[in-house]
Amino acid sequence: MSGLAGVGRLAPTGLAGPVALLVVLLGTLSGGAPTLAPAALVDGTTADASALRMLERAARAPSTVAYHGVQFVSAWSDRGSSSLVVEVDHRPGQGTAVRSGSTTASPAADTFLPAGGAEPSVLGGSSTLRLLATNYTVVVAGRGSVAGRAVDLVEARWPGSHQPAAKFWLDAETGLVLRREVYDDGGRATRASAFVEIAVGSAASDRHLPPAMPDAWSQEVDYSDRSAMRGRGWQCPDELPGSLDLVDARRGGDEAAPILHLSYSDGLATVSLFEQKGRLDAEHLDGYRRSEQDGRLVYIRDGVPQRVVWSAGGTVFTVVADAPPATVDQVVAALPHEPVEGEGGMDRLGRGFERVGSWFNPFG
Amino acid sequence: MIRPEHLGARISALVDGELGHAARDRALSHIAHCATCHAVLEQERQVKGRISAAAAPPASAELTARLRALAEPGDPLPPRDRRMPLAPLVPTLPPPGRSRTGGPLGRLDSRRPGSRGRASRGRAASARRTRYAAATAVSALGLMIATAFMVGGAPAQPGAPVLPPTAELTVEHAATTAGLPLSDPAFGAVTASFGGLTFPPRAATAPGR
Repeated sequence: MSGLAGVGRLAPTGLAGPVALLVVLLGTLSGGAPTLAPAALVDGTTADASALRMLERAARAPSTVAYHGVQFVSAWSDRGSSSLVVEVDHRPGQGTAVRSGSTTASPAADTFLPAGGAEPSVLGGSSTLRLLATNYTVVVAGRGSVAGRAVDLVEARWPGSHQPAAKFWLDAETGLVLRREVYDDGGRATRASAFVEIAVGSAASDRHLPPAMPDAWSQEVDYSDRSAMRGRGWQCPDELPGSLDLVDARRGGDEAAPILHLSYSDGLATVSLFEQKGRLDAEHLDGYRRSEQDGRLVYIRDGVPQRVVWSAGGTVFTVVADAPPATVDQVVAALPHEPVEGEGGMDRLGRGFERVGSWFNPFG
Repeated sequence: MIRPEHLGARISALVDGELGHAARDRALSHIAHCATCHAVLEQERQVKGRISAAAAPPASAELTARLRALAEPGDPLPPRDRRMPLAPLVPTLPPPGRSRTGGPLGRLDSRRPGSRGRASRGRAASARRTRYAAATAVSALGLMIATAFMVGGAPAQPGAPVLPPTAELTVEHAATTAGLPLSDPAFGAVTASFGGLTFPPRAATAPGR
């Protein structure tokens, strides 16, 4: 294992002055590839066609390239941080085994992700990549090395900004993503993963595969189904704030208590919206903190993914989001909510009179 | 006919014991020699004896009821003399025994001193009824507002209580997003296996931090 110090040796081109000089110097001293500034960086707003091709190649790479190695994953937010080291064993056509040791925050777990996973039911895989190119400015930002392998750095930048929303370090030889980082709109990293050791071209031998991750719900919900469900009080938005487009719609649970699952993505962030009929039994919701913001009462579990639960109008909403906290807040705010107790007295009185009046309304 | 030299009206005084000692002796000396005055004296004594022996007439039932009513608890104490929003609508009556000055009715009485006739009692009763009606209306309004405030408090949500299976939903999220291009298998696996990278609950913030 080469250690964390050897991860992501890079000379990005977006830096200026002494910092850029220091980074270039360090990259040169450590044997990294020379800095390469693509022409698209001149104005910083034009999508780089070569960058998009690199990302498309990276998306296809796991279907043909075997690898195994050690990877760390980390997540940060205003509420805390968490990190984990995992062993990854990928076999093309079969899937990816991920093994993690136990930590103080989580037990040891081995999981096998079947190859391909669930194909998006609303948008295809290539369309999801197109969402990334539509919502972000994708550029090649330089070269470097990760775990001793040469990489190309591709950045997805916030529209009209030089600020990165995500960085991908792509193996120059195979196209595999060897390191990635995601940032909030303030430039702070929210999650990161990187190989600290990787062997490309073969899977780990003589190791049995761990239990597979459960399949996604099989019952897809198409356009006509969603239209009919809207008429019965289900929220089925085609898009959510933060340029999140609907990419997948499924149905779980049983006939008596169905659960609607809508998946949204902007090409980078992913948000799942689950809906169930009823009202939230908050008293038995363990591990969630109560939060009141702008008159909305929700229950939050911090981490990656972030989970937010509440109910309104006879529907229980559960948002599971792998997205910047500000985006999650926008999504939650865009959905229905009940007023929080402690509101204005006149509102409460008005609702009380309305409710008392309904008792005497023979047609109510 | 009684002659002037007879005792006359002094006979009644003698019977009632109201004569002085000397006058009583003179009267008794005269009666001893005057048959007329003696007869009048006897008549006076008989009449007085009958009156004293007569039983007291029974009181009527109506009078008894009215007298008993006087002993029952009266009206509550009047409110303190302070400005109230409804004060112009609710005339204030002074408590029994107090001077009727200062209030609207007091001013009426002061314009008509000594008028305690039926009309005055009628106006007082009417004012009392008005006061009771206003108090009842205010109480009912307060009760309605309190009821509306209580009922309007907790937003009533329809449906049965639901505890979402958040662990299953988190796995479902990972299962659908793992198929997206450029998704991170490590994050997907961690999410599917134990619910992602959860942040431990924060300890209480230390003072000064």
